[in-house]
Amino acid sequence: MAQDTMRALARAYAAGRISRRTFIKRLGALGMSGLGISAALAAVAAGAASASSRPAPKSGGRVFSQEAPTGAGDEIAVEAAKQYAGSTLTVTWESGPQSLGTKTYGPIWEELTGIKVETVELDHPDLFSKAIAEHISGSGAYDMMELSTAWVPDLVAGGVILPVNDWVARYQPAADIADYHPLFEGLQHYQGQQWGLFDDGDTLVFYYRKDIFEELGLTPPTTWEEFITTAQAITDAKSADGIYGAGFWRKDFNGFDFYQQYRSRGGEFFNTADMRAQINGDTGVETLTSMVAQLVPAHPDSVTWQPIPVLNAWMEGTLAQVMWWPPFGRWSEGLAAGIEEVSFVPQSTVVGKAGYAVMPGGHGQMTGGFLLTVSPNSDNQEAAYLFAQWLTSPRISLERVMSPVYLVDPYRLSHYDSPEYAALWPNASEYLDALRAAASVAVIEPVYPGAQDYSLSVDRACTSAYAGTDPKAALDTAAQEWNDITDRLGVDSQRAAYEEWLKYKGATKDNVVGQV
Amino acid sequence: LPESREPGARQRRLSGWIDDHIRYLLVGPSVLLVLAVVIFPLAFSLWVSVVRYDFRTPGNPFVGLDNYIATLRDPIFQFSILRTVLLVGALVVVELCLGFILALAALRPFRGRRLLVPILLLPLFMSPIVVAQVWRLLWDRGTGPVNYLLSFLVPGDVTINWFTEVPWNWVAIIFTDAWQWTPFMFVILLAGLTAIPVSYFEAASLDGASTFQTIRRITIPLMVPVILVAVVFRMIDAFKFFDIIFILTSGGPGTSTYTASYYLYQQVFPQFKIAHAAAGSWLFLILVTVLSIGLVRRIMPRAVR
Repeated sequence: MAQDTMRALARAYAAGRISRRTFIKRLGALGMSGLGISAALAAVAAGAASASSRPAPKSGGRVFSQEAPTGAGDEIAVEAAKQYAGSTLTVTWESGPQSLGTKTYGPIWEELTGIKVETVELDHPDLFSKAIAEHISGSGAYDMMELSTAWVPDLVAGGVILPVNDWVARYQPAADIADYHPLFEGLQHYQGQQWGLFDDGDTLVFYYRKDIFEELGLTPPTTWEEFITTAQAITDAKSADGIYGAGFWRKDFNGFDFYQQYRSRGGEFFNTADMRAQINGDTGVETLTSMVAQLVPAHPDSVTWQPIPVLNAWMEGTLAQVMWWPPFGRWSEGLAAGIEEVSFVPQSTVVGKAGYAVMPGGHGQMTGGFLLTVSPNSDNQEAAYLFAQWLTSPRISLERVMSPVYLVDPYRLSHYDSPEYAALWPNASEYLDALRAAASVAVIEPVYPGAQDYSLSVDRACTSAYAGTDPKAALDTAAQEWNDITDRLGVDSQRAAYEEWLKYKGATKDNVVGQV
Repeated sequence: LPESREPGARQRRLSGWIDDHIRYLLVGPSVLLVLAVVIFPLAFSLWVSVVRYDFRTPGNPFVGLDNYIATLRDPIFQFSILRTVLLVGALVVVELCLGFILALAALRPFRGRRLLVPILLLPLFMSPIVVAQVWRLLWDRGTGPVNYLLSFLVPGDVTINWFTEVPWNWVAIIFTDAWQWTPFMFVILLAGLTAIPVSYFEAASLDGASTFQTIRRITIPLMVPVILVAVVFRMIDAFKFFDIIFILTSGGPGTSTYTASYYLYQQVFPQFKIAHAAAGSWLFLILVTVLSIGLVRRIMPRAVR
């Protein structure tokens, strides 16, 4: 029933009977806010240029500058995909409200192209493991796979994903490529090939309570030392009211936090001469010692919290400083209120009180961030790519990143500049500015083989230090594990991969994207 | 006429063939099933443990015992095995003692016994993962009732973090497991106790034996075979200890609560070191088999062996 209503709405919108704002509002009432197909339907009506008239694909490298098609990426994708009408795409997507994105847009894509979309929901680790398991079996069970950028080297080495250069050259308008924030555009590439289309600007953002900061005469901290002082001041002043100066999600999620703070202090992971780990040097010990100290004024459950308990505590108004992904800002303003699909988000008590900034230390990490990739075992490879292009096109993706449901976050320059987005709540433009600034100075996850193993090792060192182990001893253990991992994977090949990674924007604090 | 007799002859031949091979036909499906779901995976994991099985590199070259040596040299594996043995010992002792006390208490009829015994058995019917999730809520530092109730017993607020503070995390782990599995010991031991002839206890009573003497001199010696059976079953099961660690501590802080099963899980799923995990699994299997054989030898009469 909801789907029929949705389609009726889409048709009404495409026919111009209702405005875009009304369309999104009504879909929000249906629990599918942010959904829209205007661009695609309008494009169909307008008869967008046929893909058959496009230049032939080129192989290898990023070939788009001279022969890239013009027009809107969503329109081109729809037109080109019609030749595959009647086929079915199976896509993997992170389980939970995230998957509502494909479940909602899938039927619209089907209506536009005749291609059915079936979504397989997987937990985050399974997005990786099932992709590999499928590839080993060669079943062809998945056509398009949502995968983290950090996994790309392993997946490329295993032949689990296909390069998409040829399709990008053939179908992606140059304007759409240029519209990516450079940080995220860069993450689509590895060893000179493009491996998917980036779809989620998961840069961590610093959130603080403006009202409490004003009351206590505080300013957002710019270093981790200031963060500790600020958190202590708030805890001292407000803990009697049940408010803590900070809250963390430090159960199982310490790798990224160490990485961002370590690099904010100028740390580098390996000595490229011998590929021995550097994390147990002075900078590493300083970082981990600070991370332990950050817990002192923080909510005492921080070491057992995962992201959702932090969200709950923030929404209840009991935390004054937190780091989280971008949806936090939208939920803080109550955009999720009354939407069944995100009923896990508590009612916000901090509407209008949230301030946004880049992380203390000046460099938050891009943690997560998905690529939409194509399986080499798929029988519908091009259709899978085209669906990814449609989803990530400026117009369709804007609708998705505005939604409080799908947990997809701004990653295109047009998202940050969107007046429509800026009008969603009174200080939404500040939020968008903070997201853009955070992405521009962000450091990225390690994107080289063994990233998962290295991260697990650091996570264990951190939890060990929180429980009382000397930070130096904990990091010595982790460094030894890192060296073992490197030796197992091959020192020379790891050096090559690490040096390749160092070329990425955001690999170190001295090589961030900068002002965009 | 020959044509009309032909079907009957074929039927007889088929019937004769079935009669000759009936034993194979009856056993065949079971054998195939066992081969498919037990023998093949075992053989496959044995093969994986002696090759390089990395999805990132083509081919599976034979590496001999390299995976076994690497696993044995891994200090996390060494401590996981040691920790598992100690943990299993602690769990079995705690659950045996509690189960025995409960069984002794439930031996004689009392009002409400018929209601109480089934209630005591309820935890056995729950999934371990559900038990762990429920206890995760109960042990929670901020909102769980355990700290709240303890605050009535000791002066000051109790703010123990039962998942990250040593040794309290071990208390939480053992208590949670004991809550679920003590009933297992209880029901086996109760069955054993009820099988002891009442006349033995009457004789002891006439001879003036105290309760403690009766338990020590009569009950325990007669219960040894039953206790050994309960211990072996529980021990074999406890060696797989995973669910509670996964939910309560995720192996942390650091690797301080890694058990063998959790270590192997970590090797496979986040890290995809399948060959190492296979080698570790075989090493673990050998250890459990040796321990089990030792205990079984104690249980079974020599004649049966």
